[in-house]
Amino acid sequence: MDDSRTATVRLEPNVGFTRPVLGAGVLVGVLAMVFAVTGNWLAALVLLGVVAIALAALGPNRLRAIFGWKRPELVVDRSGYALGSQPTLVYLRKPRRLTDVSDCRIVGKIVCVERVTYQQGTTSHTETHTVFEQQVQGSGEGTSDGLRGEVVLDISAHAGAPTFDLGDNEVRWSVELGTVGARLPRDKHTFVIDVTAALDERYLPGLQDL
Amino acid sequence: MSGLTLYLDSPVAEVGGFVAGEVHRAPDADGITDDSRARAVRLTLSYHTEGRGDEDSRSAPGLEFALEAHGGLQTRFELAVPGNSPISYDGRLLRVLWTLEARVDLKLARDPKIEASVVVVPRGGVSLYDRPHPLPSTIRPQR
Repeated sequence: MDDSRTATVRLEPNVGFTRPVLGAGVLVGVLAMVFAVTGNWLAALVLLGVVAIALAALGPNRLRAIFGWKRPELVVDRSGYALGSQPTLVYLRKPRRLTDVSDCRIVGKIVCVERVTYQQGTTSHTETHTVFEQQVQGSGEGTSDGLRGEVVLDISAHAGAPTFDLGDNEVRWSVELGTVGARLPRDKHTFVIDVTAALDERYLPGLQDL
Repeated sequence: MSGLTLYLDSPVAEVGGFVAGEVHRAPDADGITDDSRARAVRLTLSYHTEGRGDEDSRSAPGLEFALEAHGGLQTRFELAVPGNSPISYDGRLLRVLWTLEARVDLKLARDPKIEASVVVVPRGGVSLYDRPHPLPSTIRPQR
């Protein structure tokens, strides 16, 4: 893929309660140290127990993702993707330290949603509806730069609509991707992609017979 | 009564393409013994949304045709659909509706108007789509 036409997209991390739990854990840990320094060992032990429970709640996968891997990137075409196209997207993820990455699967889904906002009094409400959803799958391998995988999307020519954002009314496409493999975190990340108001050339009259 | 009639070459237009047709207005004076109060006809292509969300709307650059002294007009027009426009859409939470409006500019009176619906489809899709997205699963473009 030509570098001038590609870009890595910002992801919408599915962090859930990870950040709040980690933040609270750090605070409680500091508090436990203060108690330990002042000689209140019982309180310090109780608080350390709370920290241990918080880390256990995150689970080994989430901890592995946080401490072992940087956030993934998706290489996409700057000009967007036409309706009916089947582009190949490159998924990249770097480890924080030297890690042996074996072959793996890239799994996820492509989603098109309607999103509307409306005012009720002084409160703004948002509603979403999924118009189109399809599973995607690809393969990945370890490289000198970390994990590199490819997934092929099948952007529907008839379901959903091209991306548009009119202010309070929006149609948005995204790809949610994760990895399945040994020593890889099983977290998922969502990347917004741009689907243009154009039909892929495979659908244009006459071209399909060439 | 506006006395206006709109004839569209096609009710379907592509993003980045044109809405073309003819606009007619019958004379309402002979132009010699009596001039018409109608001065011009303005054509505007616009979209607005309907549905659960607050309304969004926008108009594309329009056209204005000066009328004869008798108030009559018969001319062709071509209005561009901007390349960054949304397509016509008929979803669960929202709809995007495109309308071509012809309005007569009347001196010292309320301006009468007529409207025609236009279906805006993705670029390259004018021969495949005849209705707004999303299409029912039974109606799909064939490769």
